[in-house]
Amino acid sequence: MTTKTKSGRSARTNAILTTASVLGILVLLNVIGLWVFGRLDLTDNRRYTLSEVSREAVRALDSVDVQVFVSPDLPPTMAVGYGQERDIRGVDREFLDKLEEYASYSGGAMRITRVTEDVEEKARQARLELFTGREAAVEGGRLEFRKYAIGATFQYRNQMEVFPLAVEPAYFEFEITKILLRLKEKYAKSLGMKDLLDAGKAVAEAVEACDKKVEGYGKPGASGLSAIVGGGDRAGALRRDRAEFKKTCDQVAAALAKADSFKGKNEYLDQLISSAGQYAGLVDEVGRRLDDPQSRDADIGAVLERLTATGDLVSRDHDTLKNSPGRRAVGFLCGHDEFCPFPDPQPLIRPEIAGLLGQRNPLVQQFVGQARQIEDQINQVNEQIRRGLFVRRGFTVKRIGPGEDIPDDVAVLVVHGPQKALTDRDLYNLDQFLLSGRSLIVFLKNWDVAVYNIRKGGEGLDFSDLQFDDLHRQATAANLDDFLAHYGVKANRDLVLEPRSFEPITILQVQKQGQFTLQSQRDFPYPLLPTFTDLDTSHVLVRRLASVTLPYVSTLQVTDAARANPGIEATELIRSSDSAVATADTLELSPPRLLQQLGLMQPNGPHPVAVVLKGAFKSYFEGKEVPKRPEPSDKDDERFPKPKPVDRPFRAEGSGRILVVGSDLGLENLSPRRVFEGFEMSQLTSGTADFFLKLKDYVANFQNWQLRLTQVSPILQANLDFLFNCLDWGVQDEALVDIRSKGLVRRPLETVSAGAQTALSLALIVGVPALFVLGGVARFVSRRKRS
Amino acid sequence: MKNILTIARREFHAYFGSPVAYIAIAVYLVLLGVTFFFKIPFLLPKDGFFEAKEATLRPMFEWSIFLFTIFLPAISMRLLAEERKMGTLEILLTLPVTDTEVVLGKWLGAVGFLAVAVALTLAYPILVVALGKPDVGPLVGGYFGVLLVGASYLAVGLLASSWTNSQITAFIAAIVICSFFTFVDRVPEALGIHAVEAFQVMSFNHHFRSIARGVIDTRDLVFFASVILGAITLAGHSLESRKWR
Repeated sequence: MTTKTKSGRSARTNAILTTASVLGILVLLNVIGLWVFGRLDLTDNRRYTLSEVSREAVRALDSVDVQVFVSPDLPPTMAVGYGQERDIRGVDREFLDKLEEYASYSGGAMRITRVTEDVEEKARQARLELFTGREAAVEGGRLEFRKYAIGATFQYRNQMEVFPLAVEPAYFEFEITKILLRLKEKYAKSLGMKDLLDAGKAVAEAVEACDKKVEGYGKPGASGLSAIVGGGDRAGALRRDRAEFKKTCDQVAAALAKADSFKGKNEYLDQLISSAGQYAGLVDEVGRRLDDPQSRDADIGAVLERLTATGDLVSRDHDTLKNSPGRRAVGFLCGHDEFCPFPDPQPLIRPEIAGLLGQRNPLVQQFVGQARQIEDQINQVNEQIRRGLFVRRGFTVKRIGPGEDIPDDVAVLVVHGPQKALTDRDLYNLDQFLLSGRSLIVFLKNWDVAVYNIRKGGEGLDFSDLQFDDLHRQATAANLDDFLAHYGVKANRDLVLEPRSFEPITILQVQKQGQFTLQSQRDFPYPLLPTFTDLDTSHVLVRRLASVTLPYVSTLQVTDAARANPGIEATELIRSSDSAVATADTLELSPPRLLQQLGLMQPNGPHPVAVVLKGAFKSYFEGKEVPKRPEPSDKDDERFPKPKPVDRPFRAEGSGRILVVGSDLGLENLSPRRVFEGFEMSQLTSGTADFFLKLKDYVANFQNWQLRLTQVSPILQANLDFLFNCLDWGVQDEALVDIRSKGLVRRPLETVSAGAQTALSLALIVGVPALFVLGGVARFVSRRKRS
Repeated sequence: MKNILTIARREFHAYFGSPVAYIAIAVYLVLLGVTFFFKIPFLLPKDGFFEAKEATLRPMFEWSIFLFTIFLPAISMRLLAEERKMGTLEILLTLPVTDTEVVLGKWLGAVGFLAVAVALTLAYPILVVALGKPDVGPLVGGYFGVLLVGASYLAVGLLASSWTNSQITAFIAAIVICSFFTFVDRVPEALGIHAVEAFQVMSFNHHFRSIARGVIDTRDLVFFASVILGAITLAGHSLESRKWR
């Protein structure tokens, strides 16, 4: 008995030890696996594997220091606006994995360190973009939402680049490779600009030293009531330290004097000199106020606040200068009702005139107030688009006004859906730009299609009486047809409908229930938002795309002359399907009627809808008189000085690249001038109140812009990515286009009729299980028979 | 190995020898179809397949994992618990087979059943390929991930079945364990605390998502292999424990 018990115990001990050992080994394997791992990427475009371009980019740098900032307690989601949230679980792991993958190809040149203490504060100092979480805490008597960081800085020699917010794993490779390529180029170009950059650095350092001195006198708001009445404590501290302040802050003027010798050589240094000049002026003002015995502490405090704010401006301008070497800008032609992501440089109503008129007529005063509010809103939206879409993605964008010369650093010019005619001078500028070896991208908007837009007119200024306008389309007044045909692309004035693959249109619906107006959105199938899958995948722009959806698109054609010209390489980038219909006839624009009408139309596809031409072109203006520059307008705002025109010799021919797309991608113009279409200053002095009654029309115009954007919202993100691809292609970063495309492949389904959908759903939901059960029954029956 | 395969074959045929397997698989397929094709307010808020217009099977795989948390414990609950209750386990163990062979064989038989259930969903990729151009990587990865998660559930279910005579107890225990390890990455969010990497590393869902992207990562393979081996080892240990009780 004792022996049996002993052997039982021993067996038990052995079994427990074996089991514990196996479990221990398994845990250990998992832990080791976190560091030592391999991956097999099965995706079509090797989406999760570093491309050769990325490997080469990291190998090309002999030493890169990466500092990673990841908040240790990242929330599971982050707000992305309009109440939507993005799941960011595991994003930090993916980001670190990706960096490790780069490091493994760098041959030891890439070193990664992770910031572990005061992550958010250090990230802020490193210019990362912090995002706000949902958790709030009371700090300094105020409710503050917690901020989180996830990003990195990349240091190569004396150059630094920042990956400000790494939350989209699909674009990690694109962003990191872009940074690595940029670091190399920036360093190389900065060598040739050393003196100029040093001068800028000296100015920025002098301002920073002065700023620190001012900060030493106390922070505004830190000293209770005295701060509210004007920062008396700061002024007192400054008075006591006056000699030191002067000694430190006078260095700004000295540095500026040295930097002045470079004035006019670099626009970014000029901008820095301008803001530092303002700073030096404020330093002088502080000095004067200190000298003036009548000067109050509150006044001095106010000047110090302006000084600090201007110091921030100088710091930003210095960052721009530091980042400028080798940077290639993207120009957007503006002023022809095209998509132009910039605030309007000219105010609709000049403030001084508005003030004068408003004093005489209270109605004018009210109108001006409301018009300005709308104008400010429009400018803010455009500024958000500029910063959020372009600057944040590393593009330097420039506004090219009507008739303005195109600066040399603009590598790609975008003409995005003009609805008004370009002047001969505009066309001349485009022509000469193209022939100078750069890239011209044209998005056409041949038709202005209005589907369920808000009707203008009515009485109140609210939208409780919201009514929709008749559906209509009208040809735009764009005049690029002859110009484009000269180089080899004929743009047709038609619209393409795809019967089998298209995206839905999102329609705002309004229902009145008693006193309440209920608004909702509903999607309708809409063949005027056709999805194209016939892409020339030999071209880098669409190589990795599965489809592109182009709203209200017109067909294009490569001209016979261009086809016959061996010096021009023409690529039909995107084509419609064989079953597509291109028509210039009247269309029923209501979604259900359009579908019915389409069913009766004869297919006439395929049609090209995006074309690229590359090669040697002759000037459109050969044998013609060179159009003159427009005279400077007295409306020009002196706050936005225009570049000084430089006369350049006429180019009769040259090489360049031109991309033409028959759609505006759903990106429409928003500008005060378009929203306030028909408004003239003279109306304010006409003695009638017509201008006031028109206010609702202007508001409707603004609302309609938002409405149209919503209508194509399901395809907008993909189309923006396509636009960014075009810009990268334009600035000659073709390798980046290839990488970016990996993250944005959309794989749409063919459109299936409602009946077919029901049949297919039933076949899979009921049919397959029923067949399986019947098979089982048959098996039972046959077995029973056999037995 | 021969013994393992013999037991596996016997187990597999036992499943399809009764109508239960057919009914279970049919219910699974119907529920999967409904969740895949339809949008039901509050219950299934995401767009259905035809509304989303995306050539992907990702939602189907995710729903499969969810349905498996109930469906597979129901299949695995009888593996050892039933034999124990009927007294057939002792007979089985008197045969010249080891405890490990019994456990592995039963698990393999259940995996065979799982493979049949998963194979019956192949009509879905056919539909997607007919209507669009899906990325094949995530399709292959998705199926591979579903099989790995299912095999892990079955191993956990087998373990639960080895602890008790009661099938219901085994079923509930398996559901609780499988659900915990599936949704553990959501625990921090539900509790209002922030994500901790350990929660993710333990989560079936986290590793499944990684594979379903179309990337076969050794970390995920090691994780699932560890869960399966760990559960089978513990189940073997549980069987062996009868010797010293």
